[in-house]
Amino acid sequence: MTSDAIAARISKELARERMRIAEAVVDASAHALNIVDEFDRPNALAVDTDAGYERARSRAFELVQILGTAHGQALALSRDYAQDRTHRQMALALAHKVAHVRGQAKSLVQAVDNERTQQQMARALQALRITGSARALAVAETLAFDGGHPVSPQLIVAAVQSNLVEVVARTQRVAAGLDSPLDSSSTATAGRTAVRLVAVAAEMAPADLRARYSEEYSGELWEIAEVGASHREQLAYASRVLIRAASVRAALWRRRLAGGEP
Amino acid sequence: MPSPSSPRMTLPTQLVLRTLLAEPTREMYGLQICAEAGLPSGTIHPILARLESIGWLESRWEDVSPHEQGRPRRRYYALTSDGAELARAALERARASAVNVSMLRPGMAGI
Repeated sequence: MTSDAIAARISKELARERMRIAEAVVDASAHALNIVDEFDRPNALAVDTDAGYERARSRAFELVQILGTAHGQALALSRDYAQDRTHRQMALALAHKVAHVRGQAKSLVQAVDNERTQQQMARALQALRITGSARALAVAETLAFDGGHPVSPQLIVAAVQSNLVEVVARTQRVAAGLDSPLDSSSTATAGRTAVRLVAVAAEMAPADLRARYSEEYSGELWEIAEVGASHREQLAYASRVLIRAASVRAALWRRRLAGGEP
Repeated sequence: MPSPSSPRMTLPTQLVLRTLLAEPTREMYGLQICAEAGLPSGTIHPILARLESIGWLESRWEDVSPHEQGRPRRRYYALTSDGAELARAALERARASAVNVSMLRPGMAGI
């Protein structure tokens, strides 16, 4: 085997490893968001039944396991990049971030186990929202691999710092806004805001599928409004769609990588 | 890591699959799946995309005129025949795995 062929093979293997990490982090983030959703339902935290806590604990524990896998993969990648200082540091930074989020997930498990108070649960859930940044990293990886082109660290950093982080931040602000009473002015603009949010979510789909997802998201929003959902409920729907838009993109991207058509 | 041909069986994924398997040949749209699975609206698109990407699901636009219906058309999802079989098997594995995990608790390592 020629040196070029060996280099190409190593590059391919590294690309696969990075993809696996991106998948693991995306899965973990989606899982974390599902946990948050579990408690975002109206009065969910007030329903402190044993079954509710049991479900929360089970999900949080799954999250700890998923993040443990992602952490191991990131460390393995850093070892593979022993000769490449920049990439090695990036892999270690990712491992550090994943480990941090894993610690927060453990806190959630412990909060359920030990305290079982609404305050503890709320604090742990709030901490888990930081997974938004981990998700942005994973999406950046996804974007960087789009089309199978080699990725540069600069591209990853640029992607993380671009609108993806802003999208996550905006979504979190919307989610935070849902926790506070609405005034009359916000009620008047909520419908338009929800429409804008689902439009942003559709924009995150691959170019040739944006029209499909735009129609699907806006159609669902229309139906929700039609059956009497308040502006606040429409915003909640739009936020959930937007938070998951990166996961949708990752799923569609994985299919392309596997050679399928969307 | 799950293989590319088998999605990770999170609880929401299991709920979606159970809902679709209740009537495997029935087509359902997103909000309908959410409602029947007991999941919040707007949370299942990644699951549907993953399942569709591995061939367990197929989807199509509702064949109606939005103008005549007075509402937007819906995107309908249904299990493929292979998908239904694989989903049943995956749910069974997930159930068995959950039983094993529950036998380890409490005091699992790593927590």
